[in-house]
Amino acid sequence: MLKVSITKSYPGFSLTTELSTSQNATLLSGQSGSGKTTLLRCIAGLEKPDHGYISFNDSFFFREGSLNIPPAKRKATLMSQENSLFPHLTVSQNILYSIKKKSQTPDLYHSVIKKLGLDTLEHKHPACLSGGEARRVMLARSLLHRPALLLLDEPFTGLDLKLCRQVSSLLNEYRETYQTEIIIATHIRQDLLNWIDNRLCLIPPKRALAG
Amino acid sequence: MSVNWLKVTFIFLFTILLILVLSAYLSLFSLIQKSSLFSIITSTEFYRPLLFSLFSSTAATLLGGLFAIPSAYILSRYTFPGKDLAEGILYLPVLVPPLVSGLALLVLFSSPAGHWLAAQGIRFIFTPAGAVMAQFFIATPYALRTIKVSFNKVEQSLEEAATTLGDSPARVFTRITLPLAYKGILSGLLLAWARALGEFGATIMLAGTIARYSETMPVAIYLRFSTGEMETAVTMAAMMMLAALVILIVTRHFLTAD
Repeated sequence: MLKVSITKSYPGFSLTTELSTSQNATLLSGQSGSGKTTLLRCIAGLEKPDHGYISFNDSFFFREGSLNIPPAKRKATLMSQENSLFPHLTVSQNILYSIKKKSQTPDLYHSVIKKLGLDTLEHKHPACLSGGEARRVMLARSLLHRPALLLLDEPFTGLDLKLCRQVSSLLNEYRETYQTEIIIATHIRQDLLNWIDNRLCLIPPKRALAG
Repeated sequence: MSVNWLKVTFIFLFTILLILVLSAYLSLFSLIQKSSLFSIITSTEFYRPLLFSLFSSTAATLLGGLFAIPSAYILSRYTFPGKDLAEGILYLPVLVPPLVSGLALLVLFSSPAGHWLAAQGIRFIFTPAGAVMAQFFIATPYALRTIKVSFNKVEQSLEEAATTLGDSPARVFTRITLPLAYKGILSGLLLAWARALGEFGATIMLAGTIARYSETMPVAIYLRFSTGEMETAVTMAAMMMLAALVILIVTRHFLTAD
């Protein structure tokens, strides 16, 4: 269960958000520039809020003035909007990046690459991938990490309808199997995420309201 | 048909520059006597400063890398008050004449702090360690600049992704940043090595001109030239030029290789 009450300001931009998730999947929507990415980055630990607190499953990630857990120790993986595949590694090395013992390829790996249609791309380098393929590899890499909290920023960008359905189905299956809490920020294909009951919308003046 | 005068002018100036550089260095070889070449390059007067130069420039480069890599990372990734000033100070040895840098080092190591270091057994004035220090001081900014550019080219989003996949900052640096910046790091170190190998002004001020002790190749060339041993000086200079050429080719290889 994630609880967030933060403010974060940049020159010309201010985000004030309060949210509390009671289910293990949340859809975060809002106009472009409403602060979805900033919110996810704060939860992941990549940005430090100016004020407030962030807690997950009764442990604080951030508490103003006293605590700021490093991103690597939050067990919260963020799949960002931009292509963040490691260019010096192959697709399979990217996907297995967080697996400590590479010799023991987990069953999840084969299952995920098959469902995301990546089984023919394993030995390619990111430079050879299309935008949609890169998104799917990034998603697979995030899933293989088995985070407690999975943060997805616009995961459907560059995917056609069929692939969007496959991704949606895979995410639903994944959170049920691994009891992972998922937060998806997107302003497209929200209709495909009908398995998510908890919907939050960042609206001007950038406040999260239960939808 | 109209003549592209801009192109013609540029080609003319390019050709003049190329001919000037090439003819200057080739002229060195014209003075080498084949009959005495073997005896010169097998003499201790030749290979002792050469070996010492190779050793001191390599030591200076390794030491330079030890400081330049973290410093370049700090300049590339962090913002702090006075950063521009700090960066400018680090590049001073490139802008200031090497003789002045050498004099500054001499004064520094003659100070009470230098005397304290000497009491601990760390002596730089008129010693081989002084040659390493002078080369390190002059060459490190060249590595710093190149390495900083290579770190700038590594997108921070990749480091952030590795962080949220559970990597500590040290693991992100070794698994992501270093592998992606290694070509620039190698180029920077090669450039620093070439600069250290050719260092003269600061070395002569700090390490002196003590034959068979702290004598580097450029110092040896200067000493032979000043004592009228032109043939030896020219042979040494030609050998140094060949070394610089090899470094250039290797650097180009690293810069252009996929």
